[in-house]
Amino acid sequence: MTDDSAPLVVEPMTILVCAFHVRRDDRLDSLADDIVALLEPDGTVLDLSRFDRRADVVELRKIDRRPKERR
Amino acid sequence: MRSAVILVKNGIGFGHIRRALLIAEALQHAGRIRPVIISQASSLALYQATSVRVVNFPLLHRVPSAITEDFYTDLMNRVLERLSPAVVIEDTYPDARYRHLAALIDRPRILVMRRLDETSFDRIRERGDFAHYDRILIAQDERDFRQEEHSPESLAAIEYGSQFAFVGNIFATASSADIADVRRAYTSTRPLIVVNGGAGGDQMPDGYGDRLFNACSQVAAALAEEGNPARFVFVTGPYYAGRPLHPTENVEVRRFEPRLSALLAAADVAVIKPGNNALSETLAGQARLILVPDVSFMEGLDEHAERVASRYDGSVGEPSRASLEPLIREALIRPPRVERVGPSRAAIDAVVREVHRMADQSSRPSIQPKSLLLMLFPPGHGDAESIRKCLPRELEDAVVVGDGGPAVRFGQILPSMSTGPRAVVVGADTRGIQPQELVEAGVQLLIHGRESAPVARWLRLHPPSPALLSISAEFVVARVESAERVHRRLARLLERSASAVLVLDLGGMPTEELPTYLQLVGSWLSAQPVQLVNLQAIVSASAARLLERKD
Repeated sequence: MTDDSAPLVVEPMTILVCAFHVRRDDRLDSLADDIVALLEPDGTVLDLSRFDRRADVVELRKIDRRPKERR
Repeated sequence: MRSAVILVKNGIGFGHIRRALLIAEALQHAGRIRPVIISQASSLALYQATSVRVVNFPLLHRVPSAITEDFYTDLMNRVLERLSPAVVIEDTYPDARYRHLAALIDRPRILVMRRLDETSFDRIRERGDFAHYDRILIAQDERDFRQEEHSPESLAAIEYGSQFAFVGNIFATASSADIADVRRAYTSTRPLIVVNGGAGGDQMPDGYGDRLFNACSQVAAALAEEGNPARFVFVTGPYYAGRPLHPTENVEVRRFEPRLSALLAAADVAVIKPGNNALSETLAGQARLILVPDVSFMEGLDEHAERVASRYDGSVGEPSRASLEPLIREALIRPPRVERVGPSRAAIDAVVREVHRMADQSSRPSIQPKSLLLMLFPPGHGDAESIRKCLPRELEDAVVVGDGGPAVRFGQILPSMSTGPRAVVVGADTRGIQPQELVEAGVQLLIHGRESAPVARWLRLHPPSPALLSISAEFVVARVESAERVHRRLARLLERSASAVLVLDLGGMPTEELPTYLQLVGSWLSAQPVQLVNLQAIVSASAARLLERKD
């Protein structure tokens, strides 16, 4: 059966790397450096799509590639 | 290793990201350039098992505050600056946001474009959005493209220009083993009906997904009641937001099926929204097709579904029980579809080759000299062949009009054997011939004088398809004593533009003076920063103008 929570089932697990406050932080260059540095090794997937509108906070996340038993 | 970035957005489906992944994985496998996908997507589902690097942003045009949108755009620019891509690959829709990112300006750009409906293709062309790409690779079968009703101008831009190439459809093909496995997993013995509406997203608030799956639930219940052995698999897609769907004895419900391409290829009957990927994956198998078009973004799915159904002996329905029940019942008793679309790596390989070529080229840019197409009208007393014999080496690339080569005067007969582009030099009198006759004789280019209104009117009244390209030329009558005047005319002409066409009428030139005169012109030209070009170059340049913005 499908239900409202079902879309999340197919989403891979992600790990929070850092949060960036859009109206307070002034370190875009270092965030960009971090993103490029984190893009190793092959198969690294970084996600910036999570955004808390009320807090104006953007999260940098990374798909968790660890085996399930080690999470 | 240098990088190639692939810029992709997914709206309501997964097709764009699937295509980007196929290209990126092929580039990575080739090992000459490092692909990085920069996506705007609301789901990471397809990235779960990828071997390529991905940075995913939200869909920037849907970010709810302007300051956050600016933040994301700025961050994307800084990340791209650091990646410093040797090649930029965009998917399907030219995006002004990418065009204006400082990090991407002056990078070689490729647009990989899956099928768009005819009106959308024209709109993008007329907006000038194609002109920003070095290459546009159409991920569609050329024969299918030509069966659609594209405008004469779009056809001419594609056929005669150098920006476009057909590479063929790009989609995931399941292996025979995967198809057999997935078939076994769902049912080995019962007829298998797969229902899929893409990733489940809605283009319009019309409840397409809800109506499609609930109609199929009702059909499944009716068949079960009768003891019909058919088994349904509903793959709703993660964005499905219709009423909850309940599995039953003959219905299995999957929100996401990572082996969807194998499942569609394994089906006996496929009830699908005919988006690019689901349709291609279904055509790889033998399922009887029931296509249920939805409102689409630039895909014209209604017309497309009719064309596909007619070609592959399928049917087109609506997302309602009344429409789908008779179609499903009929499909269940029909033999398997015979015509299949075989797996092919050719399309992806063609994209990889182009990316490599572009990356190699990008390291050594060059500036082309000014180009001149020099056309010679032979004198009345001599034939074209005798002119060609006395051409100095410097003028070997000049086009002698009417010599059995690629250009004639209006009303002269084009030789049937010549290959390559053909041109006709036309004056104000266009009586007696229709533009379409010229197109059918292989003519691509009309060369006219400054007064082009009669030619434009003639073309407007009888528009041919593909469109005839036209270009304005300077006409000069050669005089023994006046080679210097030709030099001055050319200098003035090429001072104003990067390329020009000059028609030099040698009609009044005495035979004995011809070699000397041509030698004078040739020697002068060889000392200038000008190269003589052939018709192909002018045709390509004229076709490229069809991609410029029409204001």
